[in-house]
Formats: sequence, structure tokens, C-alpha cells
Amino acid sequence: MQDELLLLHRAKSLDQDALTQVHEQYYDAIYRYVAYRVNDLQTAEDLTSEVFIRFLHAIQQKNAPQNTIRGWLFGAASLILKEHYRKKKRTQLTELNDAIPGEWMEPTEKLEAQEKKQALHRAIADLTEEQQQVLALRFGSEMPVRDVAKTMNKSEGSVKMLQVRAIAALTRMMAGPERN
Amino acid sequence: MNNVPEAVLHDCLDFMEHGESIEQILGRYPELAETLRPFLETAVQLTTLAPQPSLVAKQQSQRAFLAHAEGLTRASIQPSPWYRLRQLLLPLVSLAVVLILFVTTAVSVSASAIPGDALYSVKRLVETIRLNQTSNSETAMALMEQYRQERIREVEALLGTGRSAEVTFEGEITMIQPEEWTVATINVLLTAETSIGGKPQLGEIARVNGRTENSLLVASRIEVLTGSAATPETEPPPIPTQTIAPTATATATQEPTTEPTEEPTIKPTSTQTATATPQPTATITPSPLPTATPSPVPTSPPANDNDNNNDDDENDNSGNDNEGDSNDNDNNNDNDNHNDNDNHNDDGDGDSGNDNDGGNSNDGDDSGSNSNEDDDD
Repeated sequence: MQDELLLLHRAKSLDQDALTQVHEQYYDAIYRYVAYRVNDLQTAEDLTSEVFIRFLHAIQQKNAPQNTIRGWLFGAASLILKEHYRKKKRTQLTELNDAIPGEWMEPTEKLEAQEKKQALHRAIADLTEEQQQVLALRFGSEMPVRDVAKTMNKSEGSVKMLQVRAIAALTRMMAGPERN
Repeated sequence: MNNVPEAVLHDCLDFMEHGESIEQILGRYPELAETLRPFLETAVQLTTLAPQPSLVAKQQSQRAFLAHAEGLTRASIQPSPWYRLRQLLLPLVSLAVVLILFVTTAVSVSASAIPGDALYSVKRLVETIRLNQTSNSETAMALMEQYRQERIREVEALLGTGRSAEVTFEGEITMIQPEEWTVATINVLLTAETSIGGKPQLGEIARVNGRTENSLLVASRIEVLTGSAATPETEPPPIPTQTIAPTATATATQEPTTEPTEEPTIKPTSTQTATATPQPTATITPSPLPTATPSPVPTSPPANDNDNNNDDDENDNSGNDNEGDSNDNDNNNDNDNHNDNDNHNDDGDGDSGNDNDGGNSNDGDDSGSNSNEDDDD
């Protein structure tokens, strides 16, 4: 925490080393969070870059985060995603499988796996905003429940409940109506 | 799924987060295994959805991020356009201020300079500029007098300090001795090499060129200016122009010389109007000046000249209609009288005696001058 505050202080003065460290430290998590939500690699890259540019603008306009860089970056990413959704109105489901690392699979198995993931993405898009956010933070950014709670400004119990209900809802949707 | 308590689902996710496999977790809840399996499989699948960022994309993002930051840094450091303009103009303005201060100081200091000082040329230059910028002749004369006195003061200062310098000044000659003159209270020594221009006399103005040395002024040339200085004062050459002006009126008076014989009966009325017209005679008072030249004129106002003049005047009258017909008539009558007056003038040369007819007499004189011209022709 002390290190993050020090890093934030240096970043506010647009110190290049500090900014490099900020980008290096948070880019992957922000990217996975965004990619988890937008389901398009190029869009995910663009929106992730936009998160960091806004961080600079916040510093310039004296609206820089006061205590935590990570919380501010994920908050900005969430806002940017909302703006993105407003613009697109509906999520475009595109192929993600090329970017997903995985072991060698037979073509038929690979095809089935791709179809399964696409179905899961579509199902996620039907979840509530908060449920999507929890899943993106927990499984996209691999963030612990405690950090997710801080980022979403919720209690850890609320985050756990959102997470369980989201997975349960997805399981039902993936199983089909006949299984419910 | 609905039969499974949420607490169990929470625990299952915790076990999964701590690295337990699906089979291990299901082994903990054998009675719920069938229901829990799809839930756990979905959770595992969710962990595979997040793509890893490509290294290229990450580097591009970082470059853009740092470049943007650098741009912001430059923008915050870069001065405003006004600041840049100010930076650009500052040296010029400073230079201008320094120049103005230098010139002002030089001018003010040069005011007390005397010949031989470094700033004396500046002093003379300032004087010349001030004199050239003066449009008013009175002010110019006052300045010239001021500068003349200044030259004398400079010579006095040089003599007082014993410094050597070439000087030129003007002043009144108050003493003339073979080897020493006094000009403007300054003693001027004459040597064999001293040249003298003009005829020096006490009270006349002289320009002295010389050199001060050991508190003595040795003249190299003394030029008496009184004669030449008088000429500018006698500048009023407007007098001749005044004599020319009346010639126009004289031509008017000449017209009637032929007419009076035609209309002799109008004489009495004309004398009355003549009293009204004499007003111009007051303005043409410079009559005495022309009298010098016209004196021979009266002897030659023959009828032929008048005739010639009349011819010209008839034409002139056509152009002098501004005065009105009544004036023309008056002139005719006046001219009748004017002939008489001419005779009187010839006798007595008393212009004052003919005040009433003065204008006419002048006209007569002027006509005479015209007649002279005609004679010349």
C-alpha cells in the first residue's frame, strides 16, 4: 500500500519511470477485465489503452486518484466499458479462441470448445451488470474477493453472493431450459 | 442446483481457488456431486475465458501512454504564446529602452558640453534638429539668439578653464584696437594671420573664428556681419508685391478715362459715391513706397497710354464684374475726378491732401505705372 502511494505520488508528477511501472503493473489485469467484457481483442486493446490515457488526463486535471491506482484504473475501465456498451448497444461476439492459449486439441474437440466458450460469452452478456463485473474481476483479472469488494465498493459477502449467483445462472443457461 | 445451499457453492469456489480439482471438491459432497458438477465445470470454464494480452499490444499501449505523458509534460512546461511573444520582444524592448536612455542621457549631458568635449557634436546636432523642427519664425529667431548666446558662453567657459579648442561665435564689436578687439565682451587677439572681412566698426556684429589657448582667444578670421545681417532683417519684400496688387485696381481706374467724356453729367453723383469707395485707400496706404518709382509716371500718362490701357481694361472689366455695375459707374466717375487729382498730385505730391481721393490718386499712380509698362512695351 505504501509502495502504491509512493508510485501514485511519482506518477502524478508525470515521472516516466513511475508511469512505466504503473503500465507494467496493471496493464494485464485491466486488459483481461476489459477483454472479459467486450469479447473482442482489438476493442479490448483499444479500451485498455484508453484507461491509461484517462489516467494521465486525470493527473493533468488534478483529478488523479488519491489512495489507490488499481481501484481508480478498474473504475475507469468500468466507466469506459459502460460508454462502449452505450455506443454499441449490443455486444459483438467475435472469435476469441485464437488468443486463448490452450493445449493441442483435435479439430473437432477444438471446434466444440470454441462453441462452448462462445455460448458462455453469450450467456455472460445476459447477466446483470454487477454479476458481469464480478466475474470479469474474479476470473478475468484473477482478483481476490477482498480486492473485488474494494474495487466494486461492496462487502466481501456481497461479492461472494454475486459470484455464486452469476455462476449458478450461467450453469442453468448453459444446461438449457429442459434441465431447469 | 436450486437445492444446493449457497454456502456450499461458496465453499466449493473457495476450494477451487485454493487449487483443488473438481473431483476433489465433489468428493467432499458425494450426495450433491451430481448437482455440483455442472456448477464447478462452469466456474472452471470461466477461468479460461480471459485472453492473455499480446506482448505487441502491450508495448504499443505503453509507448502511446508514455508519449502522451511526455506531451502533457511539454505542454505544462511550454510557455503560452503571449509568454513566447514576450520572450521574443523582451530583447528588442530592452534594446530600445537602453537606446532611449542612452540618447536621453547623451542629450542632457551634452547640454553643458563645450567645444572639445566628446558630446559637443551631439549638442550642436540637437540644436540643429530643434531649429529645423521649428516652424514658427519668431521661435526660430529666439532659438538662434539663444544659440548665439550659448556660443559666447562656451567661449567664456573655454577661456575660464584654459582649454584649447576651435571656436566660432558672433557678437557686437565693442572695442577695436590694432591687436585686440572686444566682441561680445570677449577679448579677441589679432595676429598677422588674422583675416578681416567687411568694414569693422564699433557696434556692428562680427563673426569670430579662432582658437582658445591658455585663456586667450586668437582669431583666425573676423567677419563683419552687420551688412549681411541687415539684409535678413530688411526682408519685408512684400512691399513690391503690394505695389503690384494695386495695378489691378489701377486698370479699373483707367477704364473710365475714355468714358468720362462720354458721361460728363454723371460727375456729381460720382463724387458722392467716391466718398463711399475710398475705403480701399486705407488699405493701400503703402502708397508712399511706390511713389519713388512712379514719380516719373505722371509725366507720361499720355492719352495714348490711357487708350491702350482702356482697351486692356475693357477686357479686364469683363472679368471684374464681381465689383458690380455700380462700382463700375463709380469708377468712371472717380476717374473723372482722378484726372484732376493727378494734376494736384503732380503739383504738390501731397497724398495726404487728397485723402478722399487718395485711392483714386493711387489708382492714378498705378495707372501711371501701368502706363510705364505700356511705354516700355
